[in-house]
Amino acid sequence: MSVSSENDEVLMRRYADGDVAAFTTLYRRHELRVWRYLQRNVPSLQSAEEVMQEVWFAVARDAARYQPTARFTTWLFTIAHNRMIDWVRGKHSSVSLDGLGFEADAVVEQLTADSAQGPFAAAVSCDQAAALLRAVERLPPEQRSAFLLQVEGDLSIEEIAAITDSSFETTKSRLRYARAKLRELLKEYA
Amino acid sequence: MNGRASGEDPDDMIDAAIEAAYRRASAQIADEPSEAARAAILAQAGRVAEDRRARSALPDSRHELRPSLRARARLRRPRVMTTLFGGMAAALLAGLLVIPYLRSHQEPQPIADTATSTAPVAQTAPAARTARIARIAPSAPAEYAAPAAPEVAPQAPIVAPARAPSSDASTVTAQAATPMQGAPLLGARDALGHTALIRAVAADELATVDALLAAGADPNAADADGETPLQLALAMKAESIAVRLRAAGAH
Repeated sequence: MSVSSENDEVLMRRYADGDVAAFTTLYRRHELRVWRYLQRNVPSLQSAEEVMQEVWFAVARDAARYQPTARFTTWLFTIAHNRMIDWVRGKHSSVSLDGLGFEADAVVEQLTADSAQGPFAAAVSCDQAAALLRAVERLPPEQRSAFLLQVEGDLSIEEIAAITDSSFETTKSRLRYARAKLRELLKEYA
Repeated sequence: MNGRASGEDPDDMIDAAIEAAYRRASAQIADEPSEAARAAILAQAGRVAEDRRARSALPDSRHELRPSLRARARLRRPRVMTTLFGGMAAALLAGLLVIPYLRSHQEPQPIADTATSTAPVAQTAPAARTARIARIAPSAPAEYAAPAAPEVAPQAPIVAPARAPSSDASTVTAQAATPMQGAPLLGARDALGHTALIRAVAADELATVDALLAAGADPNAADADGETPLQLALAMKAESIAVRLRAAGAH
């Protein structure tokens, strides 16, 4: 069986035994999901990269202690969430995630630069996509985290509740409110 | 709409549409960390794996042969070891409390009430007492188990006598007695330089730690490696013990 077809838990065990290729496969497999989760939760690309490195350093460092009692992605996003919270509360304690000037303009530029679908279709699609991403980034932090953990981490409500140290009902409410806000936004484009 | 016709919850459908729209939006942009960040992460993973291999290849390292208390605490030895350490600390503590008590209750009390009395007391310690103390605290200094010189009984029953220099052991005065100066055992160390308090912390025995602190154990007495009880407690994440140690003046 090739490294790339093995499941995450097996890859982690192999990396803990010294197989660096297993880590590389894991990283490639989950890089973008973790990255998007972090990038939409911290206010700048540079900060997101700092936290991204901390997350994966922690994965590498703690690989030997990893016990596959839960899915690897649950463990990974728990680390990502905790590092993100540490970043917000720690050295950047004066930073609030509310109302931050996210680098959405850069996103809009990239989106509008995509004209493969033809000028008109691309403009509509890009407007909608950019607005949606902006709306996600401007959700209250708890709602944003819950929503992103679900769509990027592909985690269940129970898993999100455990990661965010919240009750099942609280997590469910956060997801409901987040979706309601995004739904309102989508209606404008319907 | 097919979803409605088939009885699906419209909210679920909208939610699915939101997630799909989000995924499409995310996929449309070249959104990824920089090559530099990626290279740093993979390089670090390689270094960590190399270090791990190097450590596991070390034959009979000193660390593995005789792990420090900190390492043992981290390993969270089976409960039997914890119990053993706790038992040893409890035995030491029992010796501390019992010895002064026996001294004050079993030795003949001086009739004179002057604080500076030097009147000698009975010369003979009962053999049963000697044997009992030896059983409770086998590592107790010899003078506890079998006092060789006559001495003055302390005035207060829970005050252990201060020890005079050996050259003048027969004239210990009650004035020299200070509270809980049964402390030689509190400061006693095992072969690795650990005090009873450090061993109690390592065993995660809060009650024993409390008792030792109450008995006057020095909360800052470090082991041979310079590690204090508080540092050990913090390393073990033994928050309750750390709180007690700080309250007792540990720093």
